[in-house]
Amino acid sequence: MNECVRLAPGADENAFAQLMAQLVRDSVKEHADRRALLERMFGRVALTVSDLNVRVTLVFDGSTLTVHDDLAGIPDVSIIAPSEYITKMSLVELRRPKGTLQRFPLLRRAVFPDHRGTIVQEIWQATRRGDVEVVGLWTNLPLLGRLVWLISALEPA
Amino acid sequence: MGHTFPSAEWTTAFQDAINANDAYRTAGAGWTQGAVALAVHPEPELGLSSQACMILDVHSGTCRNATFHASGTDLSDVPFVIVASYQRWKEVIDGSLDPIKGMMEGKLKLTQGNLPAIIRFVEASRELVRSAANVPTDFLEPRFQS
Repeated sequence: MNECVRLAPGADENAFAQLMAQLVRDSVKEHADRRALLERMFGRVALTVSDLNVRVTLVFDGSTLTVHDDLAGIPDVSIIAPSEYITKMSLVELRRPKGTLQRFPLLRRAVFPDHRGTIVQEIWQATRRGDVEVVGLWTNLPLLGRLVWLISALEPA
Repeated sequence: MGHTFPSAEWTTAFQDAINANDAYRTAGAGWTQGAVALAVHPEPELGLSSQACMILDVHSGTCRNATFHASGTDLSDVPFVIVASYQRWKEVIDGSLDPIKGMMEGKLKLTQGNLPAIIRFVEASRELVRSAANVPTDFLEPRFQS
């Protein structure tokens, strides 16, 4: 079993928390590199689905992900978005570094959101319009990038 | 006159509607992950004494086969199983409940299967719902006892 993903007490009543836990469980079960990624992640991400009025906090402690109902502690990143964009976060186009970046061993295995991707552009436009709000984006880019990779339903190009 | 949901007739009409949906053929073209079962919780007041389900053998943008099982059948071999109450399926069919949103709210539950695969084919799932909306449907009404 993937014990690296847990539901905090009370989160089993929150369907969105269950869904996020299942998404990450399935993701790390399918991709060994994502399991290793999860084990390198630290921080708290609050996800609020604005049209459904539900919220969860994802707590990464370097070995496990614990999904909490509602707010748990002070998040490093807070994402507030309608369900449509929360779903699209799992459909963000990913790419591996190319060209000279390939020379750096640490970057060779990394995966980034593809800034030219259609979904990335859509989410960016939604952020500019204010439909999607990301608090702590610029100070926590690596955490956010890793989260996008972890919950992605796609393979990197 | 429509087909009663759920029933063998409705399931066959649903299969025809899926295969007539060009948008589904495109959106579901890459789906090779196997059959999807749509199960309805038992609701004796509606005449559903046990879990009814439809198994859709969807593959590469077409529905190769669709079967209806009126009473609890073994779904352990079906790769994807989505379960909901009758009322929720009714909302999905009439278009008032988006299936992915429904999963986020716990109104629909993926009890078996890989969630990233469902998300990858989110547009295909919406087209399945649009196909269902094209099936003339009669919904069950509660049976009141005097």
